[in-house]
Amino acid sequence: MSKGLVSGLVLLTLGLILGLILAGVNSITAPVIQENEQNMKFNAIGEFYDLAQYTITEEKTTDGGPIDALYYVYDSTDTLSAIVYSVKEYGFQSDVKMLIAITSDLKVDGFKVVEQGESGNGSMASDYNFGMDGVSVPDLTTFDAIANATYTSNAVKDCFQDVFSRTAADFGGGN
Amino acid sequence: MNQKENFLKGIFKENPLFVSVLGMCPSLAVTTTLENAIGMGIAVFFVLVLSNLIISLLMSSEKLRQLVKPVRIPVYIVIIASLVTIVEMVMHAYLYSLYVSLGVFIPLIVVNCIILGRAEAFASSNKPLDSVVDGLGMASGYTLGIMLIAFVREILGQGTLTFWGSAQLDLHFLFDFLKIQPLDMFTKPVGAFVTFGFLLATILAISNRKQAKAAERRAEK
Repeated sequence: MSKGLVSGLVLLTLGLILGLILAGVNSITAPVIQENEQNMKFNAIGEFYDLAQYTITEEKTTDGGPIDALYYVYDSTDTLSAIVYSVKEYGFQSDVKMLIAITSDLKVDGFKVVEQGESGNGSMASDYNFGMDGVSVPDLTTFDAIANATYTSNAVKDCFQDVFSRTAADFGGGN
Repeated sequence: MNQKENFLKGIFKENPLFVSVLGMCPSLAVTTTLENAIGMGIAVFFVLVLSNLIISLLMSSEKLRQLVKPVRIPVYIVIIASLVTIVEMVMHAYLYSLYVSLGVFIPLIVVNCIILGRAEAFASSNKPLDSVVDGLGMASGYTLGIMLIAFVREILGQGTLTFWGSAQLDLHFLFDFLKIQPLDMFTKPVGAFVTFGFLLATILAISNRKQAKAAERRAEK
């Protein structure tokens, strides 16, 4: 067998061994990461709605689109008060994951960037006020982008657009 | 070279940051707080020590060395990338705020010149124990270096010192006493370069003075 082929096989074997080790570590960390993300989402929803007064039910989407889950917020009389959308779009170098709360009268009740790995000015997205609080669906004219972070701002704007395109139907009206 | 010298060379004589000036990109980017610097230091510690050990073990057998030699750079990258992925997954699961703070600079450890440099220059041609001690020394030198940069930048830029999580020292009273505000510039990239430049100049000045004194002493003898 040629020496080059043997060297390649050594590299392949090493890759397989390390791949198995990574799979082992992933099987330990993945459930913890998933649980943390779930807790973080509920904590973020708790910033919009008092979890003691509202009941929240989760519905996962299966269409593979940018919206991966909907959280229905019911008040004490069991009336649907709002829907919080978990949505993500790709920014400059990472997924920008957001929670966007829409009330039954189709207004933005709150939003939060819950996860992003952007660099430069894009990293400010987590704490930036995009000028969308209280805006009626589907108005995006008040949207305020982050200067020098076009891709990140566009990702956030796309998240709002993704949500606005289906809110009316989710509340039982025509789209 | 004994093990003590082997360890200390990474901190003083061959410090990766202030002597070799390697791995500057993440060092300047993450040093906005002391906590980030400690976190980055721990990650580099883990990767550098283990990559040195694994590579040294691989290269310690003459037969295996001959097989690995033609593909040694891909082998180093596969080992280092796997270790960095482990660090990333563990940080994502158990140290989430640090994972977010360090962001893209965790995966970038893969291409950190210090780690690849030590693998090629030291671990591939030395015994496993020596390689581990070298890794410990280099990682200590790197961690102390970025902690020093972060120490200056966080105090001057934010008026605080964040050790870990909520363990934070508020030094605003110093700024109140001097009747000035923390200088926001030090939290920005320009502050990182200015801090690094001044620290490098200070360290070089001290080192030159020491060398001059030693030369004088030798001349007197």
